[in-house]
Amino acid sequence: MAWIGRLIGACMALAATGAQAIPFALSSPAFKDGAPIPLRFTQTGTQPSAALKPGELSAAISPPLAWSDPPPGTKAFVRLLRDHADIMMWAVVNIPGDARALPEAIPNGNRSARLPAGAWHKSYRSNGWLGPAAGRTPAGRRTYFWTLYPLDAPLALPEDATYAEIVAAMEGHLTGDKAVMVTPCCDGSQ
Amino acid sequence: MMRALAVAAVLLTASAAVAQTPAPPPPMVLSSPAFADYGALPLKYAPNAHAQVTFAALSPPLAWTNPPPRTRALVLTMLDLDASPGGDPQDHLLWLVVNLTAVAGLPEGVPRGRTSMLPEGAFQKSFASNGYVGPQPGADKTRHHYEFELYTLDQVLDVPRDVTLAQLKTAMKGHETGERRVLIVTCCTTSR
Repeated sequence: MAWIGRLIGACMALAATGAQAIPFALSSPAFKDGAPIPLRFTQTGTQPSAALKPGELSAAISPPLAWSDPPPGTKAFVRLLRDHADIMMWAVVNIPGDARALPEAIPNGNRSARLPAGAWHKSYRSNGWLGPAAGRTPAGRRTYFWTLYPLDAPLALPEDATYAEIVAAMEGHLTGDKAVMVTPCCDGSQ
Repeated sequence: MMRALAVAAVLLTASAAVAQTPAPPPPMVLSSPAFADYGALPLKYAPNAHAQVTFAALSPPLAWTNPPPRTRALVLTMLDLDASPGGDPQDHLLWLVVNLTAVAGLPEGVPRGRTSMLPEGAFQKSFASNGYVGPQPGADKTRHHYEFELYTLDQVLDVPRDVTLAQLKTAMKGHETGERRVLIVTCCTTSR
């Protein structure tokens, strides 16, 4: 029976193409898709991030992000950043559906007013932004994958959830395709 | 005289130390003669970007240099990074070539199925076919990101020809001789 729904969906999509749907897109005012991440957001360009207390800022600050035109029915977003060893560099979970941006320099922990209401963030080894620690030569360059998932509801997950748990919890809750950016670091970073 | 000898001895020791330190091997590089890293995938490699018209899409040429020591086989994947997760995880597997041995690249236009353009023992597939299928319908309207990944392995894999991406990753675990190489392209709103 699922194929009937898919067929109806396809017909509706065909009907909607007349209006030329604007794609859901993720961007940053601080750097372009495909361009190196600026050094102020990286451990490479500042200093290795030590253990932080809630409310503290790491030397590498979190970058500003913005997005537009999420699919209809979107009630929440999840933002993930992984490197190409599949390490979770940053997750921002349960961003409200009416948010269209994240400010830069969100402090460690989940009580900052800079974090949208109800959202929480972490990395694989901290309660916030960590920043890339890749080399500044072509050989040391790594790839960073930014994704923004539009969801039909906030995720019911503990604030220490792992990357795999976050991805699994989103299964079946996407309201459309995710928005993607891919950037290298830190060869060529300024 | 003694001092000159001592200086000469120090210099000799230093140069010997320099000679003994093996130069670090140049890093492995994955590239294509047809497009730049972070560039646009040419349209000729994306015949299905508007609608699914062929299962014999022209595959792009790829080349690699300096695989790490102990490398005996390579695995190439091409993924659509913008395709949503959920449902079949094979949905975004646009090309997979397993057990590449003794080659430093793939020529343009590898035909699907069994072909002498692949080394003995290698096989290929995508989520939809037994070869390269390329960007999927819709990529002509919304720009997608595609990732070519090259895994270097210390052994030839013993996996079935209908292996899934998850099964493949399990089979490769512990056998990588270095970090996988990545080549990123976008398609197709800015492709020519």
